[in-house]
Amino acid sequence: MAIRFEKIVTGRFGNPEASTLAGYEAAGGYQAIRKILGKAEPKNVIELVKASGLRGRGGAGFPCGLKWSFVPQSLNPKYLAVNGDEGEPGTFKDRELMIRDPHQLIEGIVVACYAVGIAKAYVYIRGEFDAPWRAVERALGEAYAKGYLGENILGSGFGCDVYAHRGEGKRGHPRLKPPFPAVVGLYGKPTVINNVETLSNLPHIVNNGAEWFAGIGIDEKNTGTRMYCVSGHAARPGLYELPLGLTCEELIYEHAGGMRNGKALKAVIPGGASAPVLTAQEVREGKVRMDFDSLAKAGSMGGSGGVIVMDETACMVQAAGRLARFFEHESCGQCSVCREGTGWVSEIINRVEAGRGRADDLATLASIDPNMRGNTICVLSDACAMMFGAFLKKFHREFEAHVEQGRCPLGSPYPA
Amino acid sequence: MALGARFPHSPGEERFEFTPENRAELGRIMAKYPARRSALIPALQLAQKQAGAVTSAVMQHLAAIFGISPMDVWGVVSFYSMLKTRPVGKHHVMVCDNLSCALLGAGSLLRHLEQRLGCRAGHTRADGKFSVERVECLGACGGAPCLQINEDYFERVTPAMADEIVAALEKGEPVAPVGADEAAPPRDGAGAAQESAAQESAAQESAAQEKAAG
Repeated sequence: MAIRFEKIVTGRFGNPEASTLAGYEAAGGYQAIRKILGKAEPKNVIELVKASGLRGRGGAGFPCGLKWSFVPQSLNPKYLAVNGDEGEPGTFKDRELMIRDPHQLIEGIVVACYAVGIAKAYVYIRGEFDAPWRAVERALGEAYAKGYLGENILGSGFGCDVYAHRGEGKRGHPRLKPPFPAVVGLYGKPTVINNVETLSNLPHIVNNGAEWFAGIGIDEKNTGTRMYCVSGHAARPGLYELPLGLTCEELIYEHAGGMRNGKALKAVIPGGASAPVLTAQEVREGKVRMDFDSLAKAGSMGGSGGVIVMDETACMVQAAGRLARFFEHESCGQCSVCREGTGWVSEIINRVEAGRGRADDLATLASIDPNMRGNTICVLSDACAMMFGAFLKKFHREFEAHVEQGRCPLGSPYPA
Repeated sequence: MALGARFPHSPGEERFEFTPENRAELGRIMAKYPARRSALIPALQLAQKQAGAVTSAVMQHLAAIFGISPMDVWGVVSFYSMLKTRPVGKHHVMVCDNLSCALLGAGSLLRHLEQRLGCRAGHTRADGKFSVERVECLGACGGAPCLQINEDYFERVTPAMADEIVAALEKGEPVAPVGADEAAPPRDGAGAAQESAAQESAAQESAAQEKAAG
């Protein structure tokens, strides 16, 4: 099946002026809100987005229009929380979207607010992101000055406010669901949570139509493009916006320049740190496609679009250990299963890598895995289990060799 | 997260108060959110900038402003690794060594920097000029190995490049952040995609024309 190639959200990345209001307008910006505000019924905008097949680009791939329709219309105020945290290792797209095309995001936010009937949106940007914060703040100032935000936007009668945000000022503790954020979310109010990339697609869908968007991609459930964040041993790491449905091999070999120094591919993590690793054999023989459903069928997930490529020199125990340490660091500590589990997993894997693995370590790891799934408030624990479970299962022989030889057979290629 | 981190009591420590400018800035931030508390993290960042660290005096001052207990403030401070209870160096060098960076030499870059600066990760140099920290993913994996110095990102950092940056900072010269684009041969992701897009659409057009003609 031929897949149409078309850049959507990164279309203006080559244009340095696009980050300014004048540059964005000159490149066709703020036409989408002119088209719909006060002219289209909000519920028709939701239907448009549903028909486009747009799914969330943050991690779970949930259909965007459907998520919007879960918010009770009668409850007010309601909020839009824009997720620009970009916390999943291997992912570096939202930062670029916020820096290079912040008005595209703002216009997308206005579209979402109009569709769902939201008057206030908060763009969550993590504390370490200074450049994206400044870019978004500057763009917000420009948009307010020109009347694209605030009361009565473009004389339509509709208004909304958008703020950059560093969270509620609390420890980052997930809450039990239900109630879901659609009913009890930010500040205890009904909240839509959308990723930066998801929202950045909206102006284009409004301008070009649902059919156009649905025509890009592999099938009606995997439409549009994704910003694939290629890192690791590819010859040309970087951002590649490509239609959903191209194969993993096409992404690496036709777009990212193949493998560095002509080495052989060993493994790919296709959707950020939480996505189960795929072996080179799976990628090659399975002709794994990089859309949501194909990756799920292959036992992994599209996640956040972070594609970490590893060649034959990479040690899988070391890779798993590095990621396990991340999960340990990020565990909020509320659930003992996660607080203790992520720490144990990190300790054991890194011990095996260091050549101090014990005879029963691999059995211990295998026994921890199921306990870390489905037993906690949020899915960080599950994600950790998915990560190391896949490494352990698919590269079991490599783990065994570490324990048997009392050292890393690959010589710990990337010592800390 | 710092599990089991202890409240940084420091008896005899000087009182902390925001400068009038920072207090006014905090007022503006507070007004933006439905709950004042949403300004707590920006307030902590402002205070850290002013005082060099989030000391117990800072936490007491913020607790009074926000009407919460100092332990409540400490709960937030101990959660976020960007908030420091002890002063870091004038140039705080954060080296990412999550997987993507590790695969491209973050470990040796970190060791190189430790040697060059004479300062181990997790420590501040005696003259207070530099500190080094190993951090989790900075979200710039395409520009691995990457590091952050204060607010600025540097991508595709080689040991030689790190030396240049350090030398400039030591002389007190300004150093511009380096994105992946500037650092290395152009990542022709965008270009490659454009090219193949053009080829693809040309192919589609000619196919369509053939069809129409046929």
